Amino acid sequence: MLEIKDLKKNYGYFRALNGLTLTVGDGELFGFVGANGAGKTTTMKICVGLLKADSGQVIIDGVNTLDGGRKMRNKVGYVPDFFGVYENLTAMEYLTFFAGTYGIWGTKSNSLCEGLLELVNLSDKKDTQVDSLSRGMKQRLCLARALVHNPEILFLDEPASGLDPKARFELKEILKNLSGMGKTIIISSHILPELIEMCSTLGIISHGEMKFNGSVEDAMLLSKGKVSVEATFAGETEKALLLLKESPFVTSPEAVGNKITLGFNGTDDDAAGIIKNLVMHDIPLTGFTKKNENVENIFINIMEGNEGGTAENADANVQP
Amino acid sequence: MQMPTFNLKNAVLVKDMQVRAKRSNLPALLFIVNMVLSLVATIIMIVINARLVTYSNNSNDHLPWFFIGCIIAESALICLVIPIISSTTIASEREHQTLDVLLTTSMSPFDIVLGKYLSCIAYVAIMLLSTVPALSIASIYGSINFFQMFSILLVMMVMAMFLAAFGVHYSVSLKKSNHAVVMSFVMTGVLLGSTIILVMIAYGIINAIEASFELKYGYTGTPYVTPDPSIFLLYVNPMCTIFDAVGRIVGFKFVDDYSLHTTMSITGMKTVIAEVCPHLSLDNIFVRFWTLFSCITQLVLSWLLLKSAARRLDPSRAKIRHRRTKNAGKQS
Repeated sequence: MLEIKDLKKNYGYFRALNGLTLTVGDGELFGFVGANGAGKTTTMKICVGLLKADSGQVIIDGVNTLDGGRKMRNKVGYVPDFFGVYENLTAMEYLTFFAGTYGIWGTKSNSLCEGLLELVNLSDKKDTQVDSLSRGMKQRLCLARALVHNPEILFLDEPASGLDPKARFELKEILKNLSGMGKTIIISSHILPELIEMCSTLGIISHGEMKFNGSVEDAMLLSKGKVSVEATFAGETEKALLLLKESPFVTSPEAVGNKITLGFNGTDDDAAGIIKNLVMHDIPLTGFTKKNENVENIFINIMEGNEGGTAENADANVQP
Repeated sequence: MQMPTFNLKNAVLVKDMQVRAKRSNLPALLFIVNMVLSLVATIIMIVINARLVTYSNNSNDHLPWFFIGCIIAESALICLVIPIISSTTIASEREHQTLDVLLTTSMSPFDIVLGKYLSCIAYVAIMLLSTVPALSIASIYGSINFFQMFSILLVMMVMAMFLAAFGVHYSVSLKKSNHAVVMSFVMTGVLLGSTIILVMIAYGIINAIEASFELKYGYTGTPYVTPDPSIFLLYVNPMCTIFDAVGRIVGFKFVDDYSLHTTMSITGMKTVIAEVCPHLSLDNIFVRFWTLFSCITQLVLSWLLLKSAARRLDPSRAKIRHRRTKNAGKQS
């Protein structure tokens, strides 16, 4: 459905996209993750024809979007991260206007807009002024607006930002419904646990390059073997640090006061061996706690290029 | 859900008219315009009456001033209103963050620009039509028939279209609506004032050269270089068009009585040219049909300005800057 090849974009001296390559299949709900300024919005704007790329290709259902044109615009729906609404228009008039921009008028337009308002649970607000709607309702109305021409692919830029948990839940349910209807949806967001729960595939972007492009399961496999340990001592911390550095299962140990934090990639038996070794050398160990990496840390590691791929994630497209 | 079909209506125009109809701006504008016109007409009527009482002149010589005053006042109001409403069109969409969404629809940038432009024109058309009752009274007193009155309204409409095209163009070019409003007023001033100044400068320079040749060689025949073609720069001055149209309606006898042979004469450009361009034939078709050709020029320029605005608005036509980036070396 969507194929991005070697996309490059500079803003003056700042390189926003540096050869971004990405593939999204038909009917996928794709989560687009990245830090602020990573290039998510730029990528989306290029895909919907709002920005011109310096080089590369964006192919949506066989049409190169970089050529622009009405044919491309009929294939995509876009919900920007920040958007305004028109004053003095009701929700129904707002949708009718956008239906008109696609040449849909009259009774066709009315029935279409009523159907869309029902889809986004805003039927009871059809005669309400758009500027008096809540942020969550405006977001849902904007989503309905993006669906007015029945696009094949939807680009949603941070759709859940600024929404309360209830509005976020409602939006998530609508997106799941749309995905069930066979729409290809690309969502950028910072709320990673929600993306993992909702999306079938993920893309992680950093400094204008894709660091990961694969299924959510592949992304989760990256957490295997990623354990951090916090060891506390009553004294002899420097001696303990030297001993820990000798262990093949320990990575980057760091001492702060009586505490040492380290990366651990061994088994429980290996952990027991390390503790036994410390005790044998008369080091007063008072605590040894293992902590699994959370999802956000894994993404941060991938974005920073510290992913350290394992055999299990060989299928995922991890790009160092 | 339906697949899109060919656009017959302009959705932006329909929406803008819908929004404008709900606002109180339009009735307020109509009230102000008609109030100003009535005030001007009253003042002129008082002055004419005073002159009639003082000099006991024939009223037919004075009454056309009633019509002329109203037309000048209405033209001045157009020059004030048009830059404000036209230059906020696209810029306000940008400020309200609705432009990006509009550009992703199947409407082309030209359709968007045209919709915005036509909504301004419709606004001015309503304004002009609302002044018909006031102008009718002025026409009756000034012995102007309805056809002549509507022809003047048509010329004022062309003037509004020309100035609105500049407003829309600046609305696209500049990011903030207040900057666009200022630039539109500046451009209106340039069109109305600078064109005349440029023509005068051209005459001054060429006449000075001619005079020096006469002194040196004693030649006093038809000059080799004449500044006459520069008068056609005034084709883009909407006030010249209005004055020419008014002058042709009130007639040259009226002119002779008042001796208004100045550059900005209300007696028609033909009279101005006779004064300023003695070498230019007054039977020249471009002089005889000054109003018509001036209107055509302004409409063509308006169309080109709208095309240029649409080109600027189109993201796919944005210029690509092939610069060497600072981090290019590091990342490649």
